[in-house]
Amino acid sequence: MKKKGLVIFFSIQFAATIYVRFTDEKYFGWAPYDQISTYRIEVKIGSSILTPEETSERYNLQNPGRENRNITHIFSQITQFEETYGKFDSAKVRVIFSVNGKTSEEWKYSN
Amino acid sequence: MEIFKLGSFGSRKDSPLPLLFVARLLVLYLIWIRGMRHILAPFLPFWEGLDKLRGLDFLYSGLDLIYWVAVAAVLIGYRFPRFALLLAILVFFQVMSSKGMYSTSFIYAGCMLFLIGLFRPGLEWIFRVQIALLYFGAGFNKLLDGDWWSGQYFQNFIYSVYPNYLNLGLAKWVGLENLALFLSCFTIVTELSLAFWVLSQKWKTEFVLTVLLFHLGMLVFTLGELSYIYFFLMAATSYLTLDWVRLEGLVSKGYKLTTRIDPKKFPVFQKNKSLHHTISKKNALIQSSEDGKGIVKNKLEILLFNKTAFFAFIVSIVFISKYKHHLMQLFYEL
Repeated sequence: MKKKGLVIFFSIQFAATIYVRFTDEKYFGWAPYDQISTYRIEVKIGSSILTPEETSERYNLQNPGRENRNITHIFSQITQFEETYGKFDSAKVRVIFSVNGKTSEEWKYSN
Repeated sequence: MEIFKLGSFGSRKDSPLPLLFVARLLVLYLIWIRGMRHILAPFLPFWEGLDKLRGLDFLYSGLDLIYWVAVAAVLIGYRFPRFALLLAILVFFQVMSSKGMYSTSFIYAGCMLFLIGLFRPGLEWIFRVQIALLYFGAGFNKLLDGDWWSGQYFQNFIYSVYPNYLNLGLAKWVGLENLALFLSCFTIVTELSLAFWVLSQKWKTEFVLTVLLFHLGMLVFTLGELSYIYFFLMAATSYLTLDWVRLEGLVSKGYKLTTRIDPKKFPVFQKNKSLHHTISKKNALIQSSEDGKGIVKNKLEILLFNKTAFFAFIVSIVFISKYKHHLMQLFYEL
């Protein structure tokens, strides 16, 4: 029984490693330091623009910051926050980011 | 009950693996390297149902108490498999409670504590499989990433993220693109090779030494920036893959492994006089007169099997890397 449990435990990990190849997010895929992204988050709620410190506190993320796994993790956290704790704020979020030193890109979210 | 004996041989009477030693190292990772003091309330959990636990301060105070009891129990060696399992569950719970807490090193430590908690003799393979999964995942993901094959990742790594006189000097000497491509290929090949190597169960000592060198190499290349966490975790957990069964066999034949570090000679297997074996004068190698096979290969292997020396080595490396700025400041002030 224990052996079966352990085989399942390892199988789930292996399956996750393969699965994340087909998703944007790389959680639980054993992919440390695959990508180094720098980012800056800008948030506007109504007519107010949050300071970097307020933004950092809002999402519990460094701002500006660096993400050593995958930039989509940042997007995922922002999206989840805005759809749950911040769903009544109608925030407009913009993330300016660069993956592995390439040209800056932009990601936007509005509720 | 084992009171804090860092050099004690094995921690379960039915297994030669140094499970307690590694469990203690994993606890050291949690409380010192990661600085985990509290179990935090959910914030952007992976499973949104956990959000219902927000605001239950009494629950988290209770989990904090359980956490510290488990930490203490593992450190003193009291029923450590159960408490290692408990710590693993707390780690998994913490990760599931917050996307911000997600890190592969944190989860890996949780997995290893989980496996230590579930270990029974005959299941030695579980640690090799876990290590293989980590390296396979790391190598496989890089293998399919265009930025690794083009060298883009390491060009950015060397030039922008971790620039220092060593890696910039190397880049200037061989060319940034060439260095980046070489490092990309080297990393992918090494990680995938380590994954298969650990499963093969061949050259176990060499495997552990390669793991140490690989992660130490990264630390040197980045002058201590990346990654003392993984150096510590992989050194600690790969330790379980050494040939402890062979070592136990020696002990059962009347050999005693000294755990003191004698500056004049390395720790040595001392032979029970009733058996006919020879000990070299330099204590470097012991040959069995019965089967003609070398029991211990060399001084390096003797040192590797010595938990005190191993502990001192890996903790020193992490200490220097983690506090290098403070140490340098102290040095300049002196």
